[in-house]
Amino acid sequence: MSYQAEISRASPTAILMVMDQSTSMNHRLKSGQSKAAFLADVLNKTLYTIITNCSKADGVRDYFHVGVVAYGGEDAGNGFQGALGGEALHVVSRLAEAPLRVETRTKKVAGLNGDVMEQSVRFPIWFEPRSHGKTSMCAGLNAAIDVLGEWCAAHPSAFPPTVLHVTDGHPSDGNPEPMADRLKSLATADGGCLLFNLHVDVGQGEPMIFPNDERAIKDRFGKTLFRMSSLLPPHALEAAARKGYDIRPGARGFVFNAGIEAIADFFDIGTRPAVAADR
Amino acid sequence: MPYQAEISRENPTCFLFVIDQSGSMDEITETGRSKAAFVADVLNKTLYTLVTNCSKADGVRNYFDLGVIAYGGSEVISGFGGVLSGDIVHPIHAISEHTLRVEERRKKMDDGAGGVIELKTKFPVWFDPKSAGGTPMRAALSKTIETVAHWCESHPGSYPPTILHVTDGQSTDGAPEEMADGLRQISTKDGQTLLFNLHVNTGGGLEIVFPISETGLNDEYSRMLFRMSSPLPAHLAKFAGDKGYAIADGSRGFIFNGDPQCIVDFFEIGTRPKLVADR
Repeated sequence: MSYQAEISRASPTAILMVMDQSTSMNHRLKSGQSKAAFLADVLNKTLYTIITNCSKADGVRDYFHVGVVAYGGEDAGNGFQGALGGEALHVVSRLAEAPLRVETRTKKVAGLNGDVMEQSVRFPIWFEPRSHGKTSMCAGLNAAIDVLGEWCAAHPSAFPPTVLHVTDGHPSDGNPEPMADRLKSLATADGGCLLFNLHVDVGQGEPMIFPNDERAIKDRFGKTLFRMSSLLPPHALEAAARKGYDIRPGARGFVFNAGIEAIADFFDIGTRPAVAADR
Repeated sequence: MPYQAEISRENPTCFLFVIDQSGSMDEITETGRSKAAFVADVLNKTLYTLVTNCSKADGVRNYFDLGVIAYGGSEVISGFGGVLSGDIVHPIHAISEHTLRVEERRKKMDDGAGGVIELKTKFPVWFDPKSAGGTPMRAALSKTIETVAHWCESHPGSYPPTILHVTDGQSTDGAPEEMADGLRQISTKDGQTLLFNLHVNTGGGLEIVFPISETGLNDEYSRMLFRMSSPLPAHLAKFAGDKGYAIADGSRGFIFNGDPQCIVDFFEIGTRPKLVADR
């Protein structure tokens, strides 16, 4: 059985986000924000949640190695800047120490009788939105292969890495499917690297969430992304079902045409720590 | 120069929505809902937005006269119910007071900090979806002519009426083109009645948005709808351009094969008042 390894400080796992930063990411969502800005918010919140989940009385425990690959234009690079810009992956405690800055955000929360209240919250930023150039998806996935190939070699018995890939468009630098296959073939003794794909759209269409049948997807590129996506492992199946999604056998870690709700859920489900053993 | 008149309580303008309720409007769009239900939602939301725009400290100001003409089967009737169903056109103040009902809808929103919040919102309903029978477009436009002629006679100095016509199919009671020609010739001192046509899509087919000529329109039906449509006045052309549509001199207020996003934009662009004087 794969995906059973305990995640511990002695045997951490890796989470790598691969973010499309092509020009079309500046299109606005129904909420008025650009896709790039909303995705950056969700990513930053996800990083903060990971840190919070690893924070114990004795400090931040390094259950995870976390990185961001960003692609757009002709190539791909580190999505972190500043103190974190050198290495591709960082332990959680390092991440906790080095946000680019901490913003004060006004967060909307639902009041008792359904009205909206506003709350000031501290919001650390590690990752900045950008949208520029073409969709160099193959370059992005190749960068992920480099990072995780090395990581798997150094952590042969760990819970395998999880890659969350977020895009809104068609690749401009070739067919990404062979890269996805290579990425998924990277493995530890506990299983192959997990690749989950999130396709984001601004349109009015219904999202397709964790589908299990390629034929249900009409869009050709949507079909490609479906094939590129790993089957949801048990911990993600459970998290998705808890959120109320109707999960069928063979469901893939893939969301097509995601709006804001599906985006937030994808990040949440995709980064759910399987079992943080030594809590 | 036409389309320059100030819109004020003394000189309101008129928006008329002419809505196809024929049987084929029950086809399901990519939003998961029927064309009829989606169009009804957009129309109700548009009415609510117009009411909101006219709401000042002293109440709802009558900047607009509004009407809905619904056609399908053998009927051409007011799309409003209850006390509004007697006449086609009503001042916006009366509209604001006579909804059919106010529904409570749930709406997902960006919470401002990388998350999603579900809000309950009030959704006033004036117009219910229906889909049955044929497409008596000629009869509908004939009723529109009668309504508009009467309105223009009593508002000779006003910004001329704007007609938003939504259909998904061919007329079943004869060619509507001469009716459209007759309608556009009805004018105030500020210019001719504006007729904008939205053809909604059933699936597949590229949308054609605000074209400048018949070239590129593949069949006689779409070419006729093009000829039936008024050129966009300068302020609307600019607004459509700001929304990201390719607009040129002579762009018509016409969308063919519109998807749900186009439907939303068509209503928003079409009901954009030039200016409201006595704010």
